[in-house]
Amino acid sequence: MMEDRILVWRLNRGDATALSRVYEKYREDLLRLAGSLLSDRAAAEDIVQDVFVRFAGLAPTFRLTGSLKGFLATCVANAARNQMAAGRRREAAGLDEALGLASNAVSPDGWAIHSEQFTRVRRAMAELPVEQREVVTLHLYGDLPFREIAEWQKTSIKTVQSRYRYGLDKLRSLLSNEEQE
Amino acid sequence: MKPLTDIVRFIKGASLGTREAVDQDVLRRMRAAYDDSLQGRVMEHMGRKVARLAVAAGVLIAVGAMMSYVAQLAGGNVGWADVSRRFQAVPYFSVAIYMKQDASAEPTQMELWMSHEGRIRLRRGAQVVFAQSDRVKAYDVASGQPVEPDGLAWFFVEKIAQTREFSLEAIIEVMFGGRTTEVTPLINPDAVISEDVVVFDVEPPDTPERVRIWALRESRLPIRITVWDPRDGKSTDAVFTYFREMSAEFFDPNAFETSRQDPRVDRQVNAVSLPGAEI
Repeated sequence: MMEDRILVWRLNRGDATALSRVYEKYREDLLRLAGSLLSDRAAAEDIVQDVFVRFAGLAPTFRLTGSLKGFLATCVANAARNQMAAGRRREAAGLDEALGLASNAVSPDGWAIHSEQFTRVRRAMAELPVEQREVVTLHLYGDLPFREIAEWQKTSIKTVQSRYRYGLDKLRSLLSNEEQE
Repeated sequence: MKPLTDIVRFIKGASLGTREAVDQDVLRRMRAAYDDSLQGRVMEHMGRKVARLAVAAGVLIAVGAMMSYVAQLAGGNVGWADVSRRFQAVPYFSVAIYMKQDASAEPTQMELWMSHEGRIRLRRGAQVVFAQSDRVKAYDVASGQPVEPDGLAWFFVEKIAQTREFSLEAIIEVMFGGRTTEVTPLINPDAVISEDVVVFDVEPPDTPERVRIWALRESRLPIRITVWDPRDGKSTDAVFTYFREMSAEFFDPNAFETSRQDPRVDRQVNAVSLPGAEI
């Protein structure tokens, strides 16, 4: 937290070198967060890039009131929600097919290189209901406390905790079954 | 079936890597967005002043970092608290700072005087800037007329308002937090040119920039600090001088304003006399 305050303080004062530290510090977690929330890898990577670039644009006047990681994670989660909503609209209109869009259409020279373990996690996450997936990923990859996730999901902490527990239970079951197979 | 704690560990341990070419592209776009935003801010609020603040803040960041390193190196058989107390016991100090954008660039210079009560006088370009507490006044040196204060002065005023005093702890708190313990300055015996001077090199892990510090062995006070970037020769040099006494008028903007009318008074108010200087 202290380092984040210093980084923001430096960015407020025109020290652009702090950008690379913010990027290096949170790149992997944001990519894992977006990659777990969305089935479309390319879209997930685009979202993370966009969040970083938009943050850089805000940085000279950015005021840190909580956790920087939490802020960035929430931005990614918001963008992922919008992306999912847009996907649903396209699907309803049959546009994906018309535009030749395909889920998981990752170009061979994409950004993230997924480990086998992350690929398994991602596949299991895709089986969860969206709300549970959001809670699990925001808590584990975004380090967001349940209270903040509850505010973001506009629900109670108890509901968020339940979603987290049910989500983990299902992941445990999916990943264990996969191991047995 | 795995326990929940194992699942959490499994999820959190699922790593991914990134392609460097894309990283570079994202960083380039971030930098462009940042520069555009900064430029917009400059245009909107302070014209070119904020750009200078950015540069000045960068310089002071480097100086602050170096000073904290010096405080550490002064350790040896002396504790950090001794160094900190020793620095704070110096009533006045000045720093001449020379900056070069690359190895062959012409150096730019500024001078800063400061008392540990937080009175500041800064000479930079065509301006002399006075600051204490939240009051900042700047004058054009040639005409003696008040001008808009330099961004560096704003930087200091803000910092003093935050910390209430100028100290090595304040610099460390603002600039490094817990990270100061991660970097240990190492004595470089090959660079020592005199028994009463100790030379330390610091190689921060997260940047190719290097820091070299020259300190007096007995007093533990830094006399010169250099930060340089081996990639292009960009450097910042800070040369320190310590004073026992300085006239109150030297830090007084009103005295400066009136002194410009009378050359004799001007000399008394604005001369920095080396006799009495203490190291």
